[in-house]
Amino acid sequence: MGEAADRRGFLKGLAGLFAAASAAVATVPVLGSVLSPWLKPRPPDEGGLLRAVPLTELEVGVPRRVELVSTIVDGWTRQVGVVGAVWLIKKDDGSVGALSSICPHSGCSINLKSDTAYGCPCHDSTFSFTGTAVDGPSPRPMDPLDVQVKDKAVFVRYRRFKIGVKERQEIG
Amino acid sequence: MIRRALDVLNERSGYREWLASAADSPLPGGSRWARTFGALTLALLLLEALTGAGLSAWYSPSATDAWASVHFIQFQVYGGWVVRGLHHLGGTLLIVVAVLHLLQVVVWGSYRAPRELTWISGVLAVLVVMIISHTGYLLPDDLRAYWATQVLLGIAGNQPGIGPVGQTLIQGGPAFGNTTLTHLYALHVLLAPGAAVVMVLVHLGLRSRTGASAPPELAEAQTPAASQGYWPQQLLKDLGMSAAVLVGLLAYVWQSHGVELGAPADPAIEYVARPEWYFYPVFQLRHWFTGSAEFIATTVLPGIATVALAALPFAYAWLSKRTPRARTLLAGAVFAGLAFTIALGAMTASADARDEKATKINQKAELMAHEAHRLAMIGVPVSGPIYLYQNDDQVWGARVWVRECATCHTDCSVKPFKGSPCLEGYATRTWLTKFLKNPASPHFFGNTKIDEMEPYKGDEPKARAIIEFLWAEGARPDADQALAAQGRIAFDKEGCESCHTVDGVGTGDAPDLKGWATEGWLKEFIRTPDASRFYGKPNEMDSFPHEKLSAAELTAVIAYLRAQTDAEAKFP
Repeated sequence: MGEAADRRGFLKGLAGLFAAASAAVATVPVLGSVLSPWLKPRPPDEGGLLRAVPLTELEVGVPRRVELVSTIVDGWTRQVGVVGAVWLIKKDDGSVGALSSICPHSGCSINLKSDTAYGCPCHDSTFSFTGTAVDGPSPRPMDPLDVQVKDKAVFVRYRRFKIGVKERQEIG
Repeated sequence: MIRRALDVLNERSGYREWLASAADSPLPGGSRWARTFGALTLALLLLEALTGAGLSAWYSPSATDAWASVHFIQFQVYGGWVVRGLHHLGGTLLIVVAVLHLLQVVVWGSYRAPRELTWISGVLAVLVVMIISHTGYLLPDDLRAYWATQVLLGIAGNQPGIGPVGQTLIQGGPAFGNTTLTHLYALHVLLAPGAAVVMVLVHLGLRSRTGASAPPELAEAQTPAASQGYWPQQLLKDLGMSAAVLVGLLAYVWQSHGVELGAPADPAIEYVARPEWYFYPVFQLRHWFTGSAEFIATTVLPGIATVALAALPFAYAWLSKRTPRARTLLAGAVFAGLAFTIALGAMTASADARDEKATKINQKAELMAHEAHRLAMIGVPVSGPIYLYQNDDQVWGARVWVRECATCHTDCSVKPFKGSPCLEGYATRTWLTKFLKNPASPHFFGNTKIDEMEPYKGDEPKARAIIEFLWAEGARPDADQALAAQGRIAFDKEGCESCHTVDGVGTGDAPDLKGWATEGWLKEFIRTPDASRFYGKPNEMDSFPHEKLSAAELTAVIAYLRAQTDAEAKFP
């Protein structure tokens, strides 16, 4: 006992240290890279105004689904493509309202259900043209988006929101 | 609690007994540093597996994505360059260490009976590691990888008999492309590593059956050697060695900023193709065996060397009956073969170092790589990294220029100059000074039908003012507006206006100079140089309508022209 056990403990510790150092070289950088989305998040989208449609193409009170086109950076690629769709509606006073076509319930694409309502085909949520949830499981109204009319065209600032929750929360 | 769980684990698995027997497994002659190469090889194999798994989470094997995803790993993934550096340099080190392990076995004669199969499985494992290594070399799809792949596929295709079929199978189709990268990827991450795992397991399994070998002096003394357990001396040596080498490797990667990524693969770019360094010997042999004899260099000679190496135990059995020094003789032969192989590789390396043309081409490629790295930071076009240059109008414009314009507006330094007007340093003050002095010079209108423009013979200050006026017309932010206003007056007084209007309409006699060399002016001009606003009748330049030059290409080439600097107007 005593000295021999000490020596044995020391050697075990030394072996553990060497093994840990080797393992650290092989795993720590790899773990860092795997955690990259969390350690080095992509800067959030500027969320610039995207040109949607000429104002003349909208009729008062008639909703129109428009796909918004923008530059999309996906991992290492960069391309011009559809970032999402919005429902646009011109109001009586000439202003334009925009609602995201993503259903706040579970993210399906909202369609036109009737002449007076939007509906989601997945779980049958129904929304008025102002976005209010009228019927079905949707936890909140449709998500409104910022709209600007300039140079006789409609521009929308596209954003995404967390689905399935009552409070509206923007996601990157 | 943990103790109890381990007890249960031990009851079911007997791991303590296994550990104890491993710790006490006898080492004839005791622990040695020379024994650490095997464990180090294993440590590096594990490093390669782990870093490889990390990289595979980010890598995409396709002709359009491979380079872009490696760029992403290198510059955007947190610590990605460290992982890639460890994987690349660790792979190189693995081959070195595996060869050292092999040499140690040769020196000790540990390949001798009853360890023949351990030896052969080791030789095969080294071969498999070389396949893994070389397929990995090709995956980044940069210039180096691309050209090396072309060479590899060419070599495969030139093998007698099975060559063409083999090439098609590796390529995954009739030509290099997406399917080649997916095939190389499958080889690199699944098939070859699978084979390596089998080889290594066989190797380790056989080793545990025969036990550790003895150092030669003990093995040949025919007396039972004093034996020591694996734990603690040898295990500490093994772990200490692997910790030192791995930490050293990490430090080297850190200090050298990992491994380079070249410019994206581009069949149109000149490049000096070279394989990874451990294939230099084969590369060198190919200088001497050309044409249909090539397979002698690429297959027959390396094949003979490998078979000879694998047959070492049998050679010993034969030789030891004839001489007591068989082990030393065979070790000498292996070292001689290795020295010859290294000499072959060194010939290639030193020839490359002396080759100035190759050095120049590679320097140019390095500049391209830096430019590509910068442009790719905002993302690579989905059409592939060749289109990367479109991320920057000036860079892309220079490429459009070479393709569409430089066929007539040739290199201004060629003597005698026979091209269309020289546009190096176009529209800069220096260019204008040269032009006004001698518009009939071959570098300007000398090689065209335009002969009516007279050299400016007025005094220097007025010439400077007129030049500033023209510079200001080009919407240049640094133009001296006061001097330009004087220039406008001089322009009229010195007779320029007798031919050149400045109203944006023109007469057909000489180009209208309102907004000269602005983006708008150049757009109109390049589309319709023969319009009356520009050269009118004497025009010889081709028109570039949309079909010939897209709007985006036109914008790019104009950005390139407008980015010309005084320093570029070097011609006389």
